[in-house]
Amino acid sequence: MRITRTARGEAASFRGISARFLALCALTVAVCACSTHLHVDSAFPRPLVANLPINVGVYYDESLRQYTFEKEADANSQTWNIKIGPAHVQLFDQLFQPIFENLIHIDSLRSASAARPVSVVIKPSIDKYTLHTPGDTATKFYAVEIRYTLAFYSASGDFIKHWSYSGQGRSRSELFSADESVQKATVAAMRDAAAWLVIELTKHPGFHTRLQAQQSDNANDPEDHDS
Amino acid sequence: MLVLLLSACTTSRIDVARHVSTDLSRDTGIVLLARKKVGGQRTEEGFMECLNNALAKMQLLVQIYPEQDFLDKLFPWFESRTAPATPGELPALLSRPGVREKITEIGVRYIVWVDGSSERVDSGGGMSCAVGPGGGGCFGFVWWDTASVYETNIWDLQNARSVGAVSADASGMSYLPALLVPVPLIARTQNAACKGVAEQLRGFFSEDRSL
Repeated sequence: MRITRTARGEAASFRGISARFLALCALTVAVCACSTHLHVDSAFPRPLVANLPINVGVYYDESLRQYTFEKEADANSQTWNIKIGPAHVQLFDQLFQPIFENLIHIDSLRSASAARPVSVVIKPSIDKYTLHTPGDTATKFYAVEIRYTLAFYSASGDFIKHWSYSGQGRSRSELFSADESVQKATVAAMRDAAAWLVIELTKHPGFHTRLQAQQSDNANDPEDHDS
Repeated sequence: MLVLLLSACTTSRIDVARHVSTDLSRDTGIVLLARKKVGGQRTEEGFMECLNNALAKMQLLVQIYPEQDFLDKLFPWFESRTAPATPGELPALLSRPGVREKITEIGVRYIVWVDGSSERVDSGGGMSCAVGPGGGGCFGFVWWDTASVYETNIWDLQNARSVGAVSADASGMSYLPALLVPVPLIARTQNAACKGVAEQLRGFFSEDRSL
């Protein structure tokens, strides 16, 4: 009797485990089918520009290094988790190194002394990443827009001014390769924004002198920092 | 053979305008660039690949330079927001530091700008499919019209001028009749446009070119 009960119990337990296992498999398949994790990784070209004879510090904070876009599933789209922070660190390094005579990575914005051997410190950040799927726009394209802020600081870490800019990219939707299309659209948006940035930085070779002048103005009029 | 049998009819028209003759040698390079707008290109990657492949198979007097390599080596000067829109903008571009030197170094003399796309312009019909224990099948008839419109412009980087242009306009109706099994009869308009453009571009870059 006891043995029978045990056997029944084991059978019931086995059925329960089987049911749970099948449910877990079904859930896993359902989640995998509706969720895409993407780590944007691409080689970026070295810009073909004249070198500016200044030393520049660059500061990448954790929010840039780890920036990840997350979008919950809705009627038009699956769940997206797109990590773009590391690719941006790589992109900014690739852009800044040929533009400035010396590029120095710094660990913190503030410096106890103003003895850093740089004319200006640049802090890039991603403000917003927007993804439009073909379902959102009723087109054949995935479209990406990335908005950035490039903030300029003095060697000691005083804010001078910032630039806001954006890049747009799109890629044709291909059957069963939504992740590849989003990757292409994201890289296109990054290249688009990078093109603007390179041109603006090199358009006025004396821009660091103007930044220093702006810094003096800010010192005289602290309310004008965010203009 | 099966592809030919299952192809629907396609009508295409190719227009060519030649302004000056090309100056060619085995060292001359050309690059096919998809015209980009607002961060992306309208022209399908498949069309660019078809055009590159078709030209590579022809006996051209020039070398075809890879598009992505060209864009990377000249970054950021041929991106969507910076690329010259007309040949008149070339002198300013070539005067930028390092640009003329880089173009000379990679040996590209001519740019072939490619713009256009294939779109479904109309469709109709209906089809229903069912699956049961004894099997399944479809019944119905679906059709759609496709139009492929492409334009290429050839620029001479050395002389900063337009050499000519080729445009292709192909259209066709595709059918999908189904009596148990759907049988697609596809009008390959994009392929027709690609072959037509490639054939005319050969006139610019091979020995039998004429003004």
